[in-house]
Amino acid sequence: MSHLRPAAITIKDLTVVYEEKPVIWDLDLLIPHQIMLGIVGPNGSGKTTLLKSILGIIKPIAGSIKIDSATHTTQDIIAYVPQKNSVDWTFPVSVQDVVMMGRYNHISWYQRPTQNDLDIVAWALEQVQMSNFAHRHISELSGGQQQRVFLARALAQQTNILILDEPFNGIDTFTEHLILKVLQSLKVQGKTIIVVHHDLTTVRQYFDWTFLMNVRHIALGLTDQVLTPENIAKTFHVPFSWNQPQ
Amino acid sequence: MILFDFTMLLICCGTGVLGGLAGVVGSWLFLQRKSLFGDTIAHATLPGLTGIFLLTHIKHSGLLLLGGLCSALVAAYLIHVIQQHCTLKKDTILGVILASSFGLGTIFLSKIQTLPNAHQAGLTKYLLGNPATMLLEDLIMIIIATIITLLITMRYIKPYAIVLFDTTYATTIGISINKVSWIMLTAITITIVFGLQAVGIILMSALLINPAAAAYQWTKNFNKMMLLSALFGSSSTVIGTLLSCTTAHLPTGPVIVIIATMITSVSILCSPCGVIISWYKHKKQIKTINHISFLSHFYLFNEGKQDPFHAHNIAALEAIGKPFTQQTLQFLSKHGLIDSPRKNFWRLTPKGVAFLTQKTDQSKL
Amino acid sequence: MNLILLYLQLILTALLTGVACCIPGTFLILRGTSLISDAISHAIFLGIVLAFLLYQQFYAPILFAGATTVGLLTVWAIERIIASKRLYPDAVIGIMFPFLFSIAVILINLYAQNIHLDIDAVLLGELAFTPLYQITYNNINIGSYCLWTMVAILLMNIVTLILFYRKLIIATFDHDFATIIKQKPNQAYWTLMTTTCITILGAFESAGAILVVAFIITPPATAYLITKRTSHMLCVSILLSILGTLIGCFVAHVAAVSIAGSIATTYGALFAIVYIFRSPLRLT
Repeated sequence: MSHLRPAAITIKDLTVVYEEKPVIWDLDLLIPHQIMLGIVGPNGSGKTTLLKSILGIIKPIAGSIKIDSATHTTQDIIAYVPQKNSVDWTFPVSVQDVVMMGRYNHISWYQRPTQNDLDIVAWALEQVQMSNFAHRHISELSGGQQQRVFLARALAQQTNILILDEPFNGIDTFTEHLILKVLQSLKVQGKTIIVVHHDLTTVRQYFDWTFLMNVRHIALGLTDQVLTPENIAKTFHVPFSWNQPQ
Repeated sequence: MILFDFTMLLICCGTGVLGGLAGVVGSWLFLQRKSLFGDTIAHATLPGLTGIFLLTHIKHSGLLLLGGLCSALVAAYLIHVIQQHCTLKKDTILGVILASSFGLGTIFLSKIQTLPNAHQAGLTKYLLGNPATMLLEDLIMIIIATIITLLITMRYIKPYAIVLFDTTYATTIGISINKVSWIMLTAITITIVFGLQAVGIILMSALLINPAAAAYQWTKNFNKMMLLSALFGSSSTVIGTLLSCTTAHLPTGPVIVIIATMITSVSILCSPCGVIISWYKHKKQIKTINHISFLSHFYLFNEGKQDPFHAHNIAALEAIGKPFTQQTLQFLSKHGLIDSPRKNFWRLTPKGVAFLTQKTDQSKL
Repeated sequence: MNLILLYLQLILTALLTGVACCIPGTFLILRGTSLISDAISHAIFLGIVLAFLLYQQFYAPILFAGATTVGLLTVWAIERIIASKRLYPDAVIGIMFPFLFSIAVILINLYAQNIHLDIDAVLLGELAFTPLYQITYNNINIGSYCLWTMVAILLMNIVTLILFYRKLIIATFDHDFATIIKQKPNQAYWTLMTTTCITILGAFESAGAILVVAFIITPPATAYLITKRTSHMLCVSILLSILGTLIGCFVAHVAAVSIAGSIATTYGALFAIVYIFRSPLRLT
């Protein structure tokens, strides 16, 4: 663990409330660089909200989020791979168009994509083994292929931090292994990978670090140290909050 | 005095019945999120209405309405088919059918305009409605149509309700979803076609949705909602008709719509789950504050920090407690359960922790 | 005035209207909220009536600004009511537009009876009357107000398309991603709504309050059936719109019927034909 570098993402006292119910309450989180972190918790524990707060899509009611930007050279800081169902797959764009969206911040509105952009997009598609699908319409893709396209888009952004929301959920085995391989190679290159993971049985296998949460911070650290029966019980016991006594 | 006028009575009966029907039928559309489907069907009656007159040159309202019914049913069928076979979004399909059929109707209407007897005036009344021209035979037709619709409803409403709320279950208990849906759709279309006389094509959507939307604020029970919807629908049409017939320069259709919309707005504001009562409940909660629940937030969420005395930001607390936060904080602080280490931050005191620990142990039993 | 020239102006106005409407129409369809154009057109009608009652003039810029504002306010109001979660989104639209339209009709009946604001003409549009209001410059007729208004609106739409193309696509396809990479999806959305309002306002003369929906929705919907890229969808919808308008004008002339109705029906017929033959017609 690096003691000299600031954490990749520093979160203090994060609180997000929706319809007067706490979704994330007083959360502290220090995510170091160059790790592959799995965020685990039951449904409704605020995991996706946490991702969206980090990305700036949701505004928290209190708390701060600081992202270490000392080392990034591009405009994008964090790349995001959302859940598959967050997008309309009948939209008239090709696979390549979607991946090119990852380069939009590098292209001014009056410019066309440069050769460099095209090369990066081609490289990203190759990483996820979707090069043959570059000109296909996105409606022709299977679930696993859709996930790979999102990953390629994130790769094209060339950021140091990648955030993925349940990327292994509802996809075929081949895609699952492929995505894992890509993420692991990114980590070796020095990137920080943060994944909301849905499956407790594969956490040990995939992630060197784990964060357990259920609206509040329960445990963060090396996977083996964090995944104790006690911690798991604390995370998954339902309900965690007080019912209204009346 | 006016009420005893036979024509007035006739018109009020007619529009009252139409309003009631529209309310019932509208509640089915509303619950299926098909409100704009009703609007499209209303617009799709125009080619039939005008087309049949162009063919026959007979200006008999029964015949016209029959034409309207046919074109509306064709449109409904087309919408269904297109939706099954392509990825166009629902409201786009509705828009295409609405605009195209209305366009066709406009062509016929403009052709009628050129005919020597200038009968167009009788037909444009279907655009914005004009119940003042209702005759006894119109009322008789409306009553017949109502009886037919009510009979259909009574026979098929139970399976239809199941189809509306759980199609899978409906199939498993042997209900023919297509048959029931199409029969009820016919009932809906008949209602819309006859309802045109009251509010017209352009405003029909309001008569279908407003009573249902208003009833929805008062009850979530399907049967009660239909009845309340019928009541709101009839009230809108009868009051609207009376108002417009007794005041100069007030066209009936628009007046009915405005009354119906006002009923909806009042319902949204004043119903038990409406805006005013929700606001009042919040205010009332200040007096019956659930201190323990509020206090619990301090305790439970400190688990992660391993510091039960961690201070919380007031903004965070207000987001949960919103209107009564300050009062709760004052109350809890007065009893020594929380204190404020610095401005805008609050934390538990040892007394507060002890109080909650005792509560936790109790509730875990 | 020369009859041929008159007809040409008419056709040109209709063509410009159709093409101008394709641009916001494409994105409205892709968003899945195309019927908001119906709501906007009824709201704008109220805006026109209000502006007219206040300023007693038909062709003032005030009219444009006022009507557009009413349109945008309506969109905003619809969004807020939907956000309050007391009614379903389609019900909100279905309640809002008849309400606004009713107010407009009542206002007309109460206060504007003397002025020629024939409701039927407004509802159904009467393109044939547009050449009546000509602009003269140095005593030469250079075309009707309507024609030049549509030229300006078409240019506005083209400029908006060029400036906001990528932003619109990404905002419509993946709103969250657009927010993250700071492509300002909300800015794109309100730009789209504003151009829609202005376009609908301009199209009123040609198409009338109801049929303007045909111009906005039908050609792009038809193009959607057979294209796989947004750029293709735009081009095809423009071509279809031109084709439909020409055929519609011709039919209207031959059968002596409403021009707007003719065009709208032709658009519908084209949709039907393309729908039936969409498999062989599909562009890769």
